Amino acid sequence: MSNVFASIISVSAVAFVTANASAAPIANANATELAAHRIEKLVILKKINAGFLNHLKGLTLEILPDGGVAKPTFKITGSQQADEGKVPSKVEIILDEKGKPVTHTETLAAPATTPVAWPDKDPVTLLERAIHYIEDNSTKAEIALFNKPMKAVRISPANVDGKDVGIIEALSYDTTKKLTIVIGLDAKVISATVQ
Amino acid sequence: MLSSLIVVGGCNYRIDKTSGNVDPLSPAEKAQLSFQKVFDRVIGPKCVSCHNESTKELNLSTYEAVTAPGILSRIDDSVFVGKRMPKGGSLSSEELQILRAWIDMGAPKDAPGSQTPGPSPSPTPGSGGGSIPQDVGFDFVKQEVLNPRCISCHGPEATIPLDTYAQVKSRMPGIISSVLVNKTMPKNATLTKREYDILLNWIGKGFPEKPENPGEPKPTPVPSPTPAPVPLEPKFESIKANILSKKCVSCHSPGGEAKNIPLITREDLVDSPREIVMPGNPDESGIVISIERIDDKRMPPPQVGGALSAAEIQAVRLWIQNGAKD
Repeated sequence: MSNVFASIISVSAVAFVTANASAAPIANANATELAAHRIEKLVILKKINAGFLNHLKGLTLEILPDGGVAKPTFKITGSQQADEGKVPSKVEIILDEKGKPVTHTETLAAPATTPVAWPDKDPVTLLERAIHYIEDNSTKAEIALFNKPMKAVRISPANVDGKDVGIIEALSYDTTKKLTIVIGLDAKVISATVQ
Repeated sequence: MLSSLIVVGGCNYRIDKTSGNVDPLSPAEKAQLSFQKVFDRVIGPKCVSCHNESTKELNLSTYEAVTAPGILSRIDDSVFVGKRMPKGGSLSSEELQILRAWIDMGAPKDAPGSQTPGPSPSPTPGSGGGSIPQDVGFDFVKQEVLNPRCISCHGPEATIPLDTYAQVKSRMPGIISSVLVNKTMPKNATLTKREYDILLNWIGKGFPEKPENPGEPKPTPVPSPTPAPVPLEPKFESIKANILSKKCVSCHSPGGEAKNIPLITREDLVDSPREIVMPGNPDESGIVISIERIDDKRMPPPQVGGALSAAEIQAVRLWIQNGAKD
């Protein structure tokens, strides 16, 4: 009897999906990383604009309620760089609960007049490495806040101590804090701070 | 509140309706608790990598050592009270219950419910009849376990060779994890109890290269079997033997640099959310994109041999084109 009760509770708990929290089987950070990988693949296969690889600005994740096409779970929106005040080009990647790609939708707009150039590694690769850092260090409580409940990551260039770097900011649904990862243009993480 | 009631699928917890605590073992389960069972389930996998005869730490590799005066109370204190052990890890609820029940029962050597004495963890050397020798070195373990179970994939030319003592010693954490704890190795096979016990006992004694007592009978050295070369053809086992095992899994495996993209089994490739292999569609399969690209992301990287040959690439393509079924 206790086994039946426990089973009912477990099924109910699994079916309970909150708006944007961590109800899906894979962590939000994992889904975001898989979306970044998907974007690169779609560019290589010439299925979406190459600007999503070379001029990506950031990725934002939402969890969709069950019942959509092929029961999607994650919607990750990639945005290209754009001039201030202008609507950026976007690609929406839909992944199922295991992170497998379902569909993608591209919406193109005017590209940035002077986009940031990433000479060594493209920003998608830098974002993927930063997300790997989060996943690999998710046993640390303050980093874990950005793993399962990741909301968004965005990337911008900077110069730190005379060295060109990428600044990745990770946001979470579970905290107002921000995780800032400084990454070298060789894709090696230099530092990570939460504040 | 709901999250606190989530039960992870696959675990054998029984929820106590009154307290919410995990039920203790049933009387039938307790009747089967021998030292050997506790050693196999808990002490061996979780303790002896640090607590063995060769380390400065408390030895927990034999029944006599575990039940020496004062030791059980130290285990009780460090595991259950202070929760300091195991260091760098933890015991599952099931492991805790097994250990707790066995200690509470008076730490019997043999299972109380068994009619005949359980297997002794320290059989007399040379007693035969299936008991394992205690004082062994690498040569014996290699002959009894490594050669029949490991060398076919982990031979001298493999990416992860386990042919010499130095090679095995350098991989010991991974061996403990994959063979003794997670039992993911050997692939598609399991060690017999005797093989498992031999390996566990040897590791528990600090995996000595030579037996402590040189007078002990030694096995006749058997040359390492050289794996027969596998012809390159568009089949998974051939691709695995010729490409993946040699040039990929050193990174693309648990513990490797690319551990999040394992390339060990066919399912790793076909079921990956990264669409590493799309059966029937080599052009859009991630593995083909990776091995054919010409930028610095081409796989394999230079440090493991660099680009695949045209024949290797063609074998991968054809395997995928044919449906990647075998």
